Amino acid sequence: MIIFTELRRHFVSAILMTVLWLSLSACAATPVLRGTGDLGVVIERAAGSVLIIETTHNTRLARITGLGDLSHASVKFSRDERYAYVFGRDGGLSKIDLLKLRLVKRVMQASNSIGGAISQDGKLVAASNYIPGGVRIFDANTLASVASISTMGANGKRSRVVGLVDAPGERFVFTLYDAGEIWVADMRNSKKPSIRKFTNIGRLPYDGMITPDGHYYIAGLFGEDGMAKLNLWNLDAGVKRILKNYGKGDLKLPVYKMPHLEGWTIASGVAMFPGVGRHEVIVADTTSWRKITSIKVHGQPVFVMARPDGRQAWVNFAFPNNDTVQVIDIPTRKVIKSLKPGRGILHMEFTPRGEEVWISSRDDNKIVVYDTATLKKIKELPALRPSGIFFTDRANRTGL
Amino acid sequence: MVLLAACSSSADGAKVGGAKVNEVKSSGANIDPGAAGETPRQAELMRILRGDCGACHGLTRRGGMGSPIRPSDLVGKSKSMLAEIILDGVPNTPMPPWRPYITPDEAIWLATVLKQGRGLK
Repeated sequence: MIIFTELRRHFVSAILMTVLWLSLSACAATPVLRGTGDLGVVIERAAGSVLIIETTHNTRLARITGLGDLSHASVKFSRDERYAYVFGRDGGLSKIDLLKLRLVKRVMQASNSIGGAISQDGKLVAASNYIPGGVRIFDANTLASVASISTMGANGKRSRVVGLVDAPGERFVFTLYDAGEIWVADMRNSKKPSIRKFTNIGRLPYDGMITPDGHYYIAGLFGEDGMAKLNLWNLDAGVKRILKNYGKGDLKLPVYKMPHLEGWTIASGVAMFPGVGRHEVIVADTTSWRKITSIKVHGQPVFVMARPDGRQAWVNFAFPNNDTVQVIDIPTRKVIKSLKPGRGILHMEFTPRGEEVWISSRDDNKIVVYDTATLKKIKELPALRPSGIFFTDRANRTGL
Repeated sequence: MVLLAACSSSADGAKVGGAKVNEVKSSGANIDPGAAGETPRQAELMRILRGDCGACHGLTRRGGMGSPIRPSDLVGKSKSMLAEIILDGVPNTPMPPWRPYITPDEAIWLATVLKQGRGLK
């Protein structure tokens, strides 16, 4: 009996211990499981912080601070959409865990940086730099340095790098601003990138983009009319100049903010992009790469972003028209709505299926969320001098 | 059961994927460093300097697409020379003329701000 009692006592305490252990582990190890497909990151440029947000209930989850100078910062996501890589202006590269809501790792990779990319297989992260120029490649997991590409142009001068994107075939493609060149870096042997250089692509290429299918890389030129197009499926064909004559002879206006090509709209066989120094969105045929028409808009466009279904393009503008966003109906190529979301509109980002667009208003310290079907405001969220907005579905899109 | 109840109540609205949500504070950071005694227009000019000039020259004025414009970068460049660049831009570069939006007196004031490094953290 004593033994039994003892046994029973042990048995009871064992059950209690098991219950205790189960509840603790339920609490600590697997509390509230969630995915990351509805998460995003908002840059707070002046505060050196980012907000982690979610788009199912449109709320802010956390602020991550101490990320340095984030003017003109950009974000890429790991292929599992758990981690965000923030590329800061001061050369800082920060890796943020979107589930644990914390900074995982931060390295200073240059003294003056402008953008980044993540490789097709997600194993490499690349940062493009102004000072000292060049592109540095890191292990996406550890942020350990893997390779460094110095960007000495054919003119013998070190060049700043813009328009860095990933391309199929484990490649990074980027543009040398000062030298006027496009380089394609094959990263299959990541420690020893193999580089193909294209020179004399045009004067002052200010940005570059890759078409969503990864077929073409196109650099915009500030120093002359037209754009430089590289066929990534046939590098031997070299760089071809497109849209050479668009706007020729027109008086160009001073440009108070460089257009960005990242948001280039490609939908229904046409590309729509910002006219440099013009109050126009240019529409070009993506087969012939000739201009079809242009759409008069409120100011000089900065971003021309397509809703994911390709039916609308949302456009924001350079100073002094940066309090306005216009919506273009792509089939009719008409402006169907002008909105005033706030002052200093810097960026727009669509939810993955496009029912909402999030817009940052730097000078009113807020993010404004619109319903893209009704074009009505749904919500405002406070943010400190917000600039870029990046949602995790970018992880699955070439060039983003 | 007590433990489970305690667990679920602590998870109520305060946990995401196992991590505690940092409460987003209204504003702790000094995002707009300004000087006392600035006129509203001067505050506006400082906002343009950080926001619009900062897009190319950087928030910390260390340069980027635009030149670095910290005091040490501007040694030997007079205020009137800097004001001229602000007003008329630099041909064949992305530096635009700000004359439509900034008066000559305001350009001199901005040149002084740059030479003194005011507004830098």
